[in-house]
Amino acid sequence: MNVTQLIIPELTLLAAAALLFLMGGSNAPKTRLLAPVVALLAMVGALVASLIGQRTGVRMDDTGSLAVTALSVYIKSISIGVGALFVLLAWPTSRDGASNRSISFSTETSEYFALLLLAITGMCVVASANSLPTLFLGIELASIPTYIMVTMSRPHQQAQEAGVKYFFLGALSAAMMLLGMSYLFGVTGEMRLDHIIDVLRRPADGPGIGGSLLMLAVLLMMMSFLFKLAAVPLHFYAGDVYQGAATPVTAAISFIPKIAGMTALIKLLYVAGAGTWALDPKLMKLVWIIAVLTMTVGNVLGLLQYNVKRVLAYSSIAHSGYLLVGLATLVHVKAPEQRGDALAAIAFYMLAYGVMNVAVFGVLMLLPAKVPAPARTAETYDDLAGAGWRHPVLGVVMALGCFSLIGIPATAGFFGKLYLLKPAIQSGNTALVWLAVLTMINAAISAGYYLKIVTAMWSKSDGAGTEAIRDTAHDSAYDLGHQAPATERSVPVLAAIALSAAGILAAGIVFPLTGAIYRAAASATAWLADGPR
Amino acid sequence: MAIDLPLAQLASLPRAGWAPVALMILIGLGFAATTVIMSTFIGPGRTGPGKSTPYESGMNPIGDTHRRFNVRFYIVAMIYLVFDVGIVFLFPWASLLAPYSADPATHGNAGNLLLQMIVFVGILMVAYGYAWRKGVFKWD
Amino acid sequence: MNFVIEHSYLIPLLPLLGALAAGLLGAKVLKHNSHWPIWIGVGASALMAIVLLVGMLTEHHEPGRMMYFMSHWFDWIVAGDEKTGIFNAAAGAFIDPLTAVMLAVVCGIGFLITVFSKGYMHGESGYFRFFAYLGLFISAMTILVMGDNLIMLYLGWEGVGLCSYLLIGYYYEKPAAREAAKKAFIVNRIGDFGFALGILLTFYCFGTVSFFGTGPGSNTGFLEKALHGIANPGTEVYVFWIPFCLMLGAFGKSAQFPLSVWLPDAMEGPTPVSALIHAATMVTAGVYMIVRLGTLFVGNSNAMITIAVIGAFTAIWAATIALRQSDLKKVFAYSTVSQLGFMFVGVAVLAPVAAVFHLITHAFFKALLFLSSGVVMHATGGELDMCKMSGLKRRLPKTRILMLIGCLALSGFPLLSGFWSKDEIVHAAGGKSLVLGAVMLFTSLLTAYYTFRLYFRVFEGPEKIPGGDHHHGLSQGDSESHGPAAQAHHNPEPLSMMLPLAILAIGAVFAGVINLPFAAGVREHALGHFLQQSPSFAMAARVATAKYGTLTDTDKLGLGQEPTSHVVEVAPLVIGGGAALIGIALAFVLHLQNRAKADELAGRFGSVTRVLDAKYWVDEIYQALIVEPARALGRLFWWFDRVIVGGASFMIGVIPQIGGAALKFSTQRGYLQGYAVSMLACLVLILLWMFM
Repeated sequence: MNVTQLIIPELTLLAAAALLFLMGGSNAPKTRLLAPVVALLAMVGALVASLIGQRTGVRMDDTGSLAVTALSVYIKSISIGVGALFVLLAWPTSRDGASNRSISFSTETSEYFALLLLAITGMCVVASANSLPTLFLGIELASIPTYIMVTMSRPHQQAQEAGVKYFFLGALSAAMMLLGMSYLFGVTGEMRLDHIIDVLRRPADGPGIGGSLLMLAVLLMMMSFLFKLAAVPLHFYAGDVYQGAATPVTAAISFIPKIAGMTALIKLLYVAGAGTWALDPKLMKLVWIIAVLTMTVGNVLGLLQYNVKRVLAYSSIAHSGYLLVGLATLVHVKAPEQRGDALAAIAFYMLAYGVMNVAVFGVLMLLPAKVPAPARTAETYDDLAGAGWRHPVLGVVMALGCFSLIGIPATAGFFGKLYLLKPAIQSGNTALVWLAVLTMINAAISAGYYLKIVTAMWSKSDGAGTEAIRDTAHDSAYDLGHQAPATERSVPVLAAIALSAAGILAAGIVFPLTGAIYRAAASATAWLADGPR
Repeated sequence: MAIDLPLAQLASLPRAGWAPVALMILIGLGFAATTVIMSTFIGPGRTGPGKSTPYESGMNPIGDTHRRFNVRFYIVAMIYLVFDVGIVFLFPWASLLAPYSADPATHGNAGNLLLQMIVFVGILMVAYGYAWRKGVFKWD
Repeated sequence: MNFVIEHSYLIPLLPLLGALAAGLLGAKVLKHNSHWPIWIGVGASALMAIVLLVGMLTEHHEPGRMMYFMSHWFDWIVAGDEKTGIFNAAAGAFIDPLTAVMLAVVCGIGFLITVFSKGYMHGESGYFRFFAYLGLFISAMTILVMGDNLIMLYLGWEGVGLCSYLLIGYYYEKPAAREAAKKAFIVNRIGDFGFALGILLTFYCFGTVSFFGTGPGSNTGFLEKALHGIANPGTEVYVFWIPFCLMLGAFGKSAQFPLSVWLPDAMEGPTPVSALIHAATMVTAGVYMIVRLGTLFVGNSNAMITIAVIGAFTAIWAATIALRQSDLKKVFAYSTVSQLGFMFVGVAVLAPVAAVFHLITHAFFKALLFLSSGVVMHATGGELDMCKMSGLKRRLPKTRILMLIGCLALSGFPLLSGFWSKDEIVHAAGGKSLVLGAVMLFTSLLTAYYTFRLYFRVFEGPEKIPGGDHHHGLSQGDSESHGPAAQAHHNPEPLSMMLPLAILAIGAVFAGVINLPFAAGVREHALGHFLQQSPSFAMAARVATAKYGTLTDTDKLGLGQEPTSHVVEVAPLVIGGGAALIGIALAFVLHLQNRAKADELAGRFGSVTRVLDAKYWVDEIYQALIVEPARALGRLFWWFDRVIVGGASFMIGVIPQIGGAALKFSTQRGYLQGYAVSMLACLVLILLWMFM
């Protein structure tokens, strides 16, 4: 099949990104104000194209470097859908289109949206990659724009530092991935994932082909993908980077690379297991250990933070851990239907996580910081103190988002965890039951900091000695370039918050809807669970 | 695309098979030597502190490596990459297009191949245009 | 009518929308117009209910055929699979004559009371809140009577319980109101626990919670399964216990002994609430439930005897307490408890028709009485103590007449509605057991006495109006502190309050005609004939026939069946009327002619008076037997929670923090090189582990 027919959503996004770069050449405020509109339209167009392009079976291009499957369509749709919310979060609301409450584009508004579109394109490429180079390209296309987005998101040293750290460590992980890919290619002599599976399955070569070299290849690639997920032990960057970036960027980088990495990881393990998930027991154990470590370390570090964005960074590590719980379940269970359950659970959780994240970060970026440096919008517990009483709607949404992230019933997060743990417990496998128990303990630990956020928002106090601080802050006249006027309306952000809050609630209460999403996730991943195609 | 590693084949080739490799090495060495020798004869022979530094790029190559230098060097290097990468893709494409369109079996698809390259070059042009508009080529 | 059945969801939905509108817009937008959404919503529902009732009454009726309509709204909760049994709680209406009658009572009287409330609640802070709760209540109550399965019934049940709680605590600044609200809620929890257990058992035994499944005759509902004795294998023994569990719920909601303690305290709520929720509608939900599920109860004579004993005991016990109460609303509250006891006796002696009949007439006259005492309260500035007032007839002439009608109806004065309905219950009770009949008759006498004690004290005799002057709303510490400005110069009997009262009074006088023992313009036993077509009644009658062989005429009438002969038994009517007249006469002598005599009598029987004044110390016994042990248990649990659970969760909180601190200061120091080295070191470690 011709390749252009397969990548219409990607091409749409790419064309819009190119257009936005050209628009970035102009310095007129009007162009800047037009940029998010273009980005949003492109997202909607790509989403429609992606959904229309849904077919059963696998469609490949002539060279076999892309394979569009139900999974690709699902991942593309959720990443574009959530990506549209990121556009809303970053929508410039100042009159000159150069900033909104949280983010300062200076003159680079159009470029920001172009980069966002490119990152989403990268996710889409990962979703349908069928060869090692395409996979690499996709991952990097999803990652490199985020490095730039972090750096440009606000004119502050913290952001520069975060961007540089993110870039260098990202480059390190890319190196690992390339090294792993070269080994994989060297061992099997194939670039295409389906051909690699065929090679691994060829009886003449035997299942032990490549032996430790194959394992090395898989491990190196896995590490690189785990870096994208910010999984332990490759999570070190997360705290600094998430804190340094402006809030809408933090929201984006806690979703985009994560989903790309998780998708790639599933593909990798599918390939490494020769399409039957028959993995080395030690590798299975490794996934289990990393899942447990990731959620525990994330949650434990989250308890100690003072900066809410950093808390959410560790929370996002913990949520990667929950996704990895699904992956560990996936590789441990034997029955195809349980594998299907685990895969569907992962796919469901990706969407649920994306939506809850938008709600929480959206609220954060609408609340003002008590000291307008280094960020104008709320970053610390002190900034949040008593905010719920001043902005009850935001307070309620924040509570809703936090409850959902904990996994309290009547929210999307509850069903996310429920679906994740169900196959683990049903399998009867001791390791998995323990995994479920540890997940639940972790959910309890995570309540420690999520509830702290909620209580801070609804506390009666206004934060310690705020008035004095606020006065000195005014005196020092910290110039942030584009100081947002107090009356600035943030309708797009409110829309994003409203949409995500509605999503959290709807998926938590309207059971038929929850079921429908889950079934969509299940049918998207069913073909992976069945084993040999 | 299955790329068969040619090393094993190379090893089993008869001696005569190595001739092109030897020729390549010779040409390489010869080219380097010729340019160096020719430049001493033809060159104007001006000397000075600037001319005697390697690369003649305006940077002092001796000293502490941990120091600042103009960021424009990087930008220019990156713009160079835009074209460099373009060549990397353009060359194999160009060498394939002719047999591709000549073969009746794949003839119908040649247009597609052309279209893809146009898209690719178009993207490069966008990057180039963006850089130009942003004033990358203004040195001051 | 077809429209109503097709769109039956509108009946609960419209009041709910009204409640939403009043609740969301009331504080800022509607303010003093907050009653409009409720008036419109409840009014529309009342209209639909009446259209439905009239439509079903005029429907051609063939003897022996059931009349019912089913309306499926949506699938609410579906769980389980073929192996374990499918739990399906659909949201849908089951509309039969019983539902139609209940809906007409709930929506009709509900509407009248919302109209009355406008004048009554005028100027209250939280005006919109009151109406929002009221709309929510009507919505929940209609769900309760329309639901076609136990879960819907339970939903409505808890919904009305919630509204009751909210409305009792309407004056939440007052500690007494808060306490009363909590008490009502907690006591109802005990009953609801039984109810929930009953629902679980029902599902366990019959594999469904739907009353009639896909319809009577399909053998898919649990009532029909119970009728045919089809229970899941091995669960037959539990079927016996289902009625007892459900009964507990009914006793809680309908304030039967010993779960009756909450209802007198519930009078802390605004008077329209007392009239609507704690007299006319919500408290009769228990009666409705047992009538609806009669099939489960009728065959279980132990359950029936239990209900009869509890009902009769509650009736006479509450009536004796009412003898000595001096607070108008308290008298009526105990009277309500007593009358609900009558209804339960009616249900228990195979006379559900009589119970429903009494439910309807009681709704009219008790709502009338409560609202009238509300008017009195308005006029006296919130004073309700009958010792402090006297001879109000000149100040409140219209109210006096209305109150008189209500009192006569409640007393069972011949030819008024209460006379007919109470007589049927007493008669049926006497038919089962003479002792029971005698108890009920004596209770009727007491009822007449305490009712007229109140009437003569308050309206007749020398004029004495509390508060000194005729401006009311000025006395401090009222139970309902009306804004002084709001009422000071108003006519105490405005039209918007008198009109609903007049309609209720007409009902209180004439409601008896719906089930006269003889033909008089309408057919004899019209209500019985109508209800007979309800599948619930028809199935209960079949169970009774199967259990007792042939039924007596009284039983047949009680179950809505055609009696063998149409002879009107005059004797019970005469005896019942006589008892009422004696009670009234006694009250006349003691409380109008010679009030000193009454006090002297009370002094002579000091011990009895003390017992009655202390309401048999039920609250104190509760305190000693239940509250204190529960508190001790609570302290134990608190200690356990504090030390063991709290300690454990403290450790869960602290250990991660220690670990986190260790990680934070070792690995999260912000150095890029450090991060890179750590990553690579971990990679090496993993590789080592994998290849060792």
